[in-house]
Amino acid sequence: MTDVETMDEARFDQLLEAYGADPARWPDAERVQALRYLAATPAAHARRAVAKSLDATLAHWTLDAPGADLAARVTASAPASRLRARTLWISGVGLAAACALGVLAGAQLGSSLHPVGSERDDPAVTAVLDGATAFNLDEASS
Amino acid sequence: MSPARVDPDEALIARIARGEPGAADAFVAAKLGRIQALARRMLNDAAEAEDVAQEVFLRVWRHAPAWKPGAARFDTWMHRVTLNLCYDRLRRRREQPQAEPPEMPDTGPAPDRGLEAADVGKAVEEAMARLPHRQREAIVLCHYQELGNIEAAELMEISVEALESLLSRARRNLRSMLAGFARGT
Repeated sequence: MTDVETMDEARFDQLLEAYGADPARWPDAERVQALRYLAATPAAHARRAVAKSLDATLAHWTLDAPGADLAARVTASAPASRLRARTLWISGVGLAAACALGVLAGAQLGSSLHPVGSERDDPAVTAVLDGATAFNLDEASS
Repeated sequence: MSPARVDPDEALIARIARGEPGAADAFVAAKLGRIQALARRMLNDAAEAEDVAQEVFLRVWRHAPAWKPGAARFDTWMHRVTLNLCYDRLRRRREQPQAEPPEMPDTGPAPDRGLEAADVGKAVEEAMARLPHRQREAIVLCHYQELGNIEAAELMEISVEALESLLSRARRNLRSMLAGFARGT
């Protein structure tokens, strides 16, 4: 590297050889001096054109953007995503458990309202239940 | 170009560390292409580059909560991790004897058609693959990843002068290998 206050032909050519023709790729500390040298030296433009030609060739090696599936996999590996997925899973399990409990509670309630087995076999109970059913049906149809 | 003292990724890394919704998505959108391209150009293998990119991001998620801004930019650290993973894979390739030499297709244009951009791109890829690996690394970091000379030299653990020497030799080699293509571009 050279002193930032100086720029000569040799150093300018070194910059072209190493970094190419685009001033954006030149070292920060020397860019302004190199541009001043270029502006003041018509012959430097021809030397820069050689570097520019190689830059243009190298620019043809382009790559496709990452696929959506890769981006999705990478994003899903983030802790926040995993936490979100876990929360959703837990919510699903909780909902399923709540449904199961509801079904069980319903069955239990049904059993208490409609006893089976020995109580149902009791003629008195049967008469009350049948009567209630008949009454309700009659009431509903009237 | 020197490394910026203000890390442009600092705020997003902090959001990732806090587990904020959307932070990881934004970070992947901003960085995945850059990291995958680095690995792809270092390894010349798309599938391996995807594996490396995924591994880099796993380390990002682990590292983000403990990240202390100041010493190096997060992007530089990601480049460091990516390069190390690439070195590991390149070393394993060298240690495993290959049954056949790597396929080096004819990179010249077909005689019955003109020079197309894809032909030139393929030729550049093949020429880059033939460079000594430190020269290739220097070109990948400075030309394709557009890192500053100081940052690239630090990543390669060499002086800026040594980096410039590698770059100059790499560009001379590339110019020689791609002489036929440069006329058509």
